[in-house]
Amino acid sequence: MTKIFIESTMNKIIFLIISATFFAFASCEKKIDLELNDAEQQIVVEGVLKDSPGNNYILLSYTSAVYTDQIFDKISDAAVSVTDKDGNVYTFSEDPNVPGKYWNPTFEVLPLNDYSLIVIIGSDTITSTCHSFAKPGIDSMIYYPSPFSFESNPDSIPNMVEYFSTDNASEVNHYRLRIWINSVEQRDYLYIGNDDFINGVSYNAPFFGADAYSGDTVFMELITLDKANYTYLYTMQSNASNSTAPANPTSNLVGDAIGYFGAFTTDTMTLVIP
Amino acid sequence: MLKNFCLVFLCGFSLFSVAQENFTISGTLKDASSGEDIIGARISVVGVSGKGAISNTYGFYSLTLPKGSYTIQYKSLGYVIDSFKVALNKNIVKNVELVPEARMTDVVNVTTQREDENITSGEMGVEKLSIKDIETIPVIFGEKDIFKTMQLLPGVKSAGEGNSGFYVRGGGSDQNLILLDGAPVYNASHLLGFFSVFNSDALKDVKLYKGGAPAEFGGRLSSVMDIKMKEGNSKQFSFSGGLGIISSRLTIEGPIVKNKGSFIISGRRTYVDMFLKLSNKPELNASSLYFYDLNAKANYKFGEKDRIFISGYFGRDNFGFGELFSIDWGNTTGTLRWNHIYSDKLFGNTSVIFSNYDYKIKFGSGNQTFQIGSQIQDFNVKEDFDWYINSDNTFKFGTNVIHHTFKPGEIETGTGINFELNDIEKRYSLESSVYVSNEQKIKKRLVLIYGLRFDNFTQIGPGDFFTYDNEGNVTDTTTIAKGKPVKSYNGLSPRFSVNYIIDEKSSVKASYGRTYQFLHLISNTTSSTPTDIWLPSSSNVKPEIADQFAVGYFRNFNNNMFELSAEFYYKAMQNTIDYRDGAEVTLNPTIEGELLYGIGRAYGAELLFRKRKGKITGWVAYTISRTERLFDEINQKTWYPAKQDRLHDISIVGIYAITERINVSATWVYYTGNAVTFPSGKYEVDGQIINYYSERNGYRMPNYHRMDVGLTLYNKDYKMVADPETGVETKVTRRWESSWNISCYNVYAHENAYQITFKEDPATGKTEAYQLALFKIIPSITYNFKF
Repeated sequence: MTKIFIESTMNKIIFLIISATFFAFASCEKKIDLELNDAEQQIVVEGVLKDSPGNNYILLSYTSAVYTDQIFDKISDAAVSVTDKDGNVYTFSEDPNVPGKYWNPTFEVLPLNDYSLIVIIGSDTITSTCHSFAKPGIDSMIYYPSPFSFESNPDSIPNMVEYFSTDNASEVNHYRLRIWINSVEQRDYLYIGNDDFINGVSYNAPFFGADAYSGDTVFMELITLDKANYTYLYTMQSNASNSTAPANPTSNLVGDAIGYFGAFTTDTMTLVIP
Repeated sequence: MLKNFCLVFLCGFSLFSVAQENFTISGTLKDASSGEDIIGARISVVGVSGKGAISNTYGFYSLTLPKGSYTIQYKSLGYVIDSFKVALNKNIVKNVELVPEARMTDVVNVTTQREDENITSGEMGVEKLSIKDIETIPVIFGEKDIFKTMQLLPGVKSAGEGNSGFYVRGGGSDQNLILLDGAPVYNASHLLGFFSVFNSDALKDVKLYKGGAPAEFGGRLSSVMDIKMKEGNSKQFSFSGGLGIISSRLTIEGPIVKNKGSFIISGRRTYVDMFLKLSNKPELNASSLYFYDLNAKANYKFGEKDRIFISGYFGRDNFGFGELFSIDWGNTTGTLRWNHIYSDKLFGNTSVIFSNYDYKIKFGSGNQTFQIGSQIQDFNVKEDFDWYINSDNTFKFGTNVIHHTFKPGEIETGTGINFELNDIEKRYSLESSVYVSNEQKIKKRLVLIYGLRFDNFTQIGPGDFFTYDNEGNVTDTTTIAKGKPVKSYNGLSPRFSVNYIIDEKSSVKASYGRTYQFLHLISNTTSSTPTDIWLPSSSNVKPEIADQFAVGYFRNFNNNMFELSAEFYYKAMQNTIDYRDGAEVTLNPTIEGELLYGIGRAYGAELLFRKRKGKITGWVAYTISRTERLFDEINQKTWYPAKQDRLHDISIVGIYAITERINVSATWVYYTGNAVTFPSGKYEVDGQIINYYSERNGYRMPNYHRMDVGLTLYNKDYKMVADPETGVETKVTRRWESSWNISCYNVYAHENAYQITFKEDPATGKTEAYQLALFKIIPSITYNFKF
C-alpha cells in the first residue's frame, strides 16, 4: 500500500515541483496532433468473482483506437462458465440490461479453492485459472486528523482513516483495499500491497489520500489477490504514472485476449465519523 | 601472467634507448599570474623535430635528450611562448612560469587545446574544454556551465530539459564516469538537470573521453569526464563571482604561503524559491526550492619534490512543500593527494578519496513522519605513476581499490506512525584494478597508445543473497558472513589507439578499447531523477561490457584557423539491462528479479567543423547515429531503438567579438526526439480507461530545437591616470574587473515536448494527445566580477 503511494506521490511531487518552478516561466500544456498506429482489435476479459452470492461479473469487450470517444464495443452471445476444483460448473449469462456483462446470481467464491474460467466467443476460446485464499478479516477501523494536510485551520483538517488486520502466516498474500466515502469510491490512489513485511502479523495501514470529514460514512473492502492479479494492478498503476517501460500488464488469461480473471475472498467494514 | 606481461613490456623499452649519454630536463609549469599548474602544455626543442613532452595533470614534464645544446620552447594556448637555451650535460630541473596573453582586440580564442593538438595527439574521441571557452557561450539561466557546453560537442547528447545526465555515443546516462579531482560524482545535476553541480569558477580543466579512454580509466562504458579544480592563486588574494536573478556565486582564493601553497573556496546558491513566494497559491508559497554547492581546496608544496592537496565538494538540493513533503539529495566528495617526484623521469601520485551520494524523501510533520532514503558511499585508494622513459615513450601504470557501500532503501518512521517497514539490506563490494599503458612515438609520423587494464569486482558479505528463476521469483536465499566473497568477476580490458600524422595539417587515427561496468543505475521513470538507485553486480547481475572501435580523419586549414574532424565509431555492448513489464523497482529487496539482460549496439559518425581564430569563432557539430537493444523478452526478440536513440543531432555555436569589450554569441541546437512508447489502442478495465501498447520504443517524441543568444559587456579594465609630472594620461590596469552578461534561452520560444500524455478532452469526451513543454523564452542577467 505504502509503496504504491510512495511511488506515485514521488512522481506527482517531482512533477508538481517542475511545474511549480516553471510556473513563473510559463510551462504549458497543449493538445497536439499525433498520429498513432491502430493496433488490431483485441478481446478484453475482466473477470471478478467474490465471496458472496451474486457478487460477481465477467465483462467482455473489445479494445478501440486511441482517438475515439470512451465507448467500447461489448461482446454479446459468448459462452461463459466457471468450474471449481470439485468439477462443479457454473454458467454465467449475459445481463439483458448490461451488454457484455455476464453473471451468475447464486455463485460465490469459497476460500482455498481453485477456479477455472472458460469463455467462448465465436471461434476464440479464452481460459484462465485462479486460486482463492483464506477469507481475510478487518479487525477494526480508526480515524484521526491527517498529518498530511495543507490546512492550517484545525476545524477543516480532514481525517485519515486507518484499518487493522492480521495477515495469514501460512499464505503468501497480496491485498487490494477499496474505500468509499459517502458511497463514492476514492480512486485517486490504488491501494495494493503484499505481505513481504507483515507476514503473519497484526498490522495497520492508513488510506493515504482518502480524506474523510465529520459526518462522512466510510466503507472499506479488503480483498485478497493472487500474485498474478496483484502484478496486473501494479503494472496498470505504474503505466499511469510515466513509467520507464509502459507495457501491457501481464494477463493471466490463456488465449488471444487481454485483461484478468480473479476469484477473491473479501471482508468489509463501515465506519461513521461523528 | 600479468607480471610476465609487464616484464616483456619493460624489456621492450630498453631496446629503444640508444647507446649515447642522455640527460633529462624536468620541472613544473605554472601560470605566472596565479601559480596554477598548466596541464597539457607542449615542450619542444627548436630545430629538433619529433622530440617533445607534454605536461601532465599536475604541470609536471620530463624530456630526455642526448648531450648537447638546445633551445627548449614552452607553449600553451592562452600563454606567451617561453624559451630558454641550455647546454645539456647533466640532468637539470627547470620550473617555468608562463605569462598569460592579454585579451587581444582581434583574437578571441574559443578553444583550449594546443592549436594543432587534434592532429598530433595520440588520443582520439576526446573533447577538451577550459573555462575560457565557456565564458561566452549562453546557457540556461545565464550560468557558465561546463556540463551544458560539453553537450554542444559532437557525440555528446543532452538528456533533455528536466533531465539530468547526458548520453555519449548511444550509452545510458549511468555510463559516464564523472570525476572531480579523481573523486567519482554520482549525480552531477542540480534541480533536475537545469544546473550542473560544477561551479565553473572553481574549475580549471575538463576532458571528456568519448571512446578510446586510456587504460588508467575504467568502470563506465561510455565516457570519462575528468574534471580538475583550480588550485587557487598562490601569488595573491583574489575573489570573483557573479550575481544573477536565479543564483549567485562567490570564489575566494589566495596563497597560504606565497608560491608554496594556496587555497580556493567557491560557493553557489540559487534562490528560485523567492519567486515561488510571490505566488498567491498556498502550496507554492510554502515551498522551498534551492540548491547550494561549496568547493574547497588547499595545497602545499613541501620542498622541491612533494606536494599535498586536500579538496572537497559539498552540494545539496532541496525541494519542499512547507513542512509536509520534502526531498533533498546531494554529493559529498573529499580527496587527499600526495604528488612525489621520484626522479626526473618518474612522477607519482597517491590519492585517498571519499565519495558519498544520498537522497532523502520525507513526508508528514510532527511525530507522524515518514522518511525514505538511499545512499552510495565509496572509499578509494589510488596510486598512479608517470614514467617518462625517454622522449619517445611515456609509460603509465597504477592501481586503484574502491570499497563501495550501497544502502538501497533506508526507512525511518516517526514515533506517531504505527506500522513498520524494514530497511533494504546494505550491500558491499570491492572494485580493484591495475593498469599499464604506454604512449610511444615512432619516427615522426606515428603515435601509438597501448595499454591493458585488469579489473576485479567482488561482492562481499554480510547479507542475505537471493537466487531467482526465469520469471523473477526468488528460489533460494543464502546468508554470507561479513567480508566473505559472494561473487567475483574479472575482466581484462585492452586499449589501443594509433595516430598516423600525414603532414602537419592532417592525420588519421584508429582505436579499439574494451571497458567493464560493475555499477548500474536503476530508474523507475522515463526521466532520470535523483531517486534512481545504483545497483552493484552480483551473482544475478553480470557486469556490462563494451567494445568500441573508432576511426577518424583530422584536418586543419589556414594555419590552424579551421579545424575539421570526422570520427566514425561502432560500439558493441553485452549484458545491457532493461526492465520486465511492470517492474517494481522502488523499495524492493528482490529488485534483481525485475531486470532483464540483453545486448546493445551503437554506431555513428561525428563531424565537427570549427573556427578557432579571428573575430568570429565557433563550431558546427553534426552527429548521425543509432543505438539499439536486443532482448529475448522485449519486442519479440527484435532490435529496437534505445530511448536515447536520436538519428540527427546538430549544434551550431557562434561567437562574435565585436570589439574588445563587446561579445555576442548564439547557439542553435536540433535533435531527433527520443524513442518512446505510446499506446496504439485503449480499453476499459476496473472502471478505468487503460492504454494498450503494441511495441516498446516504437514511436518518437517530436524533434527538439531551440536557439539561445547571449551578450557580454566587459567594463573598462583600465583607468586613465595622468602622470603628475608630464600631465600625459596613461592606461593603468584596474584590479576590479567586471562584466554584464545578458542571455536568453530559447529565443524563438519553441515548445519542446517534455512529456506527452493521452487524456480525455473535457469538452468532447474524446481521448487526445497532450504535450507538456517546460520552457518557452527565458531571459537572464548576470553581473560578474573579479578582484
